[in-house]
Amino acid sequence: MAFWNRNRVPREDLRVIKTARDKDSINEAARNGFRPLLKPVQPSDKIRSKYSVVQNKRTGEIKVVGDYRARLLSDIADEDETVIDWTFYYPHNFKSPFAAYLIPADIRKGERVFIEDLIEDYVGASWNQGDTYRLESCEAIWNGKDLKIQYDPKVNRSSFIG
Amino acid sequence: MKFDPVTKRVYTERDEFIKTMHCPYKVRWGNLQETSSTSRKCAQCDHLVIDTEFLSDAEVLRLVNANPATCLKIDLDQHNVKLRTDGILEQK
Repeated sequence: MAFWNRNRVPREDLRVIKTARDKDSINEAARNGFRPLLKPVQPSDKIRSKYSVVQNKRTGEIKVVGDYRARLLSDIADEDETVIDWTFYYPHNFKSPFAAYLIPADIRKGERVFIEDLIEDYVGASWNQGDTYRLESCEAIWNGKDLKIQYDPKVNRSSFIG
Repeated sequence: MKFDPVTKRVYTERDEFIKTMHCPYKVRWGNLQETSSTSRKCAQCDHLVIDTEFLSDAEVLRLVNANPATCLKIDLDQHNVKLRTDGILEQK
């Protein structure tokens, strides 16, 4: 799912920074020589997906749809009625409210790195129906204390590869 | 084709599962070498990446069944794709 990297393809010379998403894996990384850089996991209200639920009047079965065109595209039958109208929600569920970037012991101040699994929420792509999707990966620069995420808000992507 | 951008799962119109999209190299279409009007080559792993915009469900399914490592490119705005949400939360 590659569109999430809105900046650049990770350069081969960039080190990849891994993310640990629970206490045990953070502590294991610390024991293995990494410096965990802790961050709170804070869902952004800018990331949102939508759904609507229709129910068949006769059978009671439901369908969940995510595309405003569902009725036009015949995904919804005449005997289906809307029971939950279009609703936007945050579509991710992180098991821990904190996570950590695992900083290698020998990282240099000013080093550009590639973060494989961003903890912070940035909009990576948007759909013209209002849905927006998380940026998954991004380059960053280590300033000696923190990783400065090299996010470019002007670029928006809509294609996925994988 | 149906695509869930949250879970990255791709399905046919008849809800047959095709594949879960995943690229460890986070490549972008614009950075790939064009090999034909519908495919590009990934220099990171030597795979061909197939543009699904002009393929039918059957063609995509056949490609992935023949080689499950086939890489696909899907654009949210392409005419033959519906986005599917299902209200599923991505777990991390």
